[in-house]
Amino acid sequence: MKMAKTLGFVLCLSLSSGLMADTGGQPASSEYLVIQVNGIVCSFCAYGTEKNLSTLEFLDKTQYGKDGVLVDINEHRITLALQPHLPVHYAQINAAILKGGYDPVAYYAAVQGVVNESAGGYQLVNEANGQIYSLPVNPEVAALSGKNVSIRTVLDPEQVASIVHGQVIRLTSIELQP
Amino acid sequence: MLGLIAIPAMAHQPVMDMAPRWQNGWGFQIRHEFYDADKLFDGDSEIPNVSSRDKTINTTWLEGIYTFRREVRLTFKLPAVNQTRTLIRNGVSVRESGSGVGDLIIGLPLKRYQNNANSTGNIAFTPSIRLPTGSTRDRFAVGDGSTDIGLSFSASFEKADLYQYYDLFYWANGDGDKGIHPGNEWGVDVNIGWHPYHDNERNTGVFLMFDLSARHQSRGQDTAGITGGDRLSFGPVFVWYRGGMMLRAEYKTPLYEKLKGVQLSRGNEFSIGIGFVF
Repeated sequence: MKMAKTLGFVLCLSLSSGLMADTGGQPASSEYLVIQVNGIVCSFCAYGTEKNLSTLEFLDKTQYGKDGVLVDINEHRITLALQPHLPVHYAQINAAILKGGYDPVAYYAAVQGVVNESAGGYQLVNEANGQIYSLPVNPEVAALSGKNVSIRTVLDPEQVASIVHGQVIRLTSIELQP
Repeated sequence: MLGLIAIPAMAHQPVMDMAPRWQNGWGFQIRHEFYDADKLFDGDSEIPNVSSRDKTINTTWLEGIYTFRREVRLTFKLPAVNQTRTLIRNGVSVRESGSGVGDLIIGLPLKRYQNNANSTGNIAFTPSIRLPTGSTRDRFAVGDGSTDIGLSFSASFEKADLYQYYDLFYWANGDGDKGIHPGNEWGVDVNIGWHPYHDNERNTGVFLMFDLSARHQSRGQDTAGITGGDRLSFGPVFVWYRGGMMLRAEYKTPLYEKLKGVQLSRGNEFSIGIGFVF
């Protein structure tokens, strides 16, 4: 418990890259996904990207004009409102943005779930939607085993494009949310 | 379409240029363009229009675009024209008119994009062809019967609040019917735009732009006489958009005209349009 509290204040877990996750100043929660996108400076031009994204079934379409997609041309970000009980199909998001004519740079995600030990490593299982994430192996993560935690992470577009829906998503950069 | 009206002096067009930039996107716009002219020029000097020559042209353009992927697009522009003019033939003032579908323009914009952290831009090369779909039957015919070839090089740069667009084009005009031989034409368009208002939640906003257009057309001939000349015009462009719909209004007035021989000025132009992308 003491260790978990310590981690909660320190926030930064040991990362394979050695960097703290950059949330881009967004209030990332597990109900939202924030994507930094190069070139997205005009919402009329981004209409097709928004339309492509709005077809994704795991979006919460009660938000952001009833399509679950917010394009912020001043911050050059797309925020997706997520349905907590549906797994996120990351590769579909990446494809929708690329087909829309823009270049995603970073995905700022927050995931919540229980940390479990598995085959010598650690996984976070989101109990709401069943999505599984593998975590870096280090003593700080080991101390979270069995606990329900919320972490923030940053995914790069190449990694996102290679994520196979339904398979474990490997996180290399994580930050514990207090 | 003849003479200096061959290429409408168009400023930046959201539907045909900015969007759709997404794969398999398409769009269309309907745009009405109006101008009338009763100022007579001899070269670059206005002279008395004692014979009351005039010209009024209403053109409704149906323009469409399909985007295969952001680098490759296909466009068409089809005018419906209703026009009248008063001119002197054999010393007598006559009124002539013409109406109908004009010449179809097909373009293949090929673009190269650069997306940066807070801007986007592209350079484009656009070969075009203008087909003689317009009738040459009327006295003031809406077509000239020639097939014409166009090339355009353009560049645009955009930030959230600022827009720039530069276009250089050339049209090689073929020989038409009834002895019509419009001269070849080149032109430059410069647009500087401001994006003063935008609502992320509603996806609505406004562009305000200024367009500077320069045109040069070599000396030619149509059924009214000599064509060709130089023209510099300037005017504001207003665009409102919401979602995939936009409304656009443009006004343009000549700053300078130097015409080949004695011709009517192009005069002031006004254009309004509505467009949709999908």
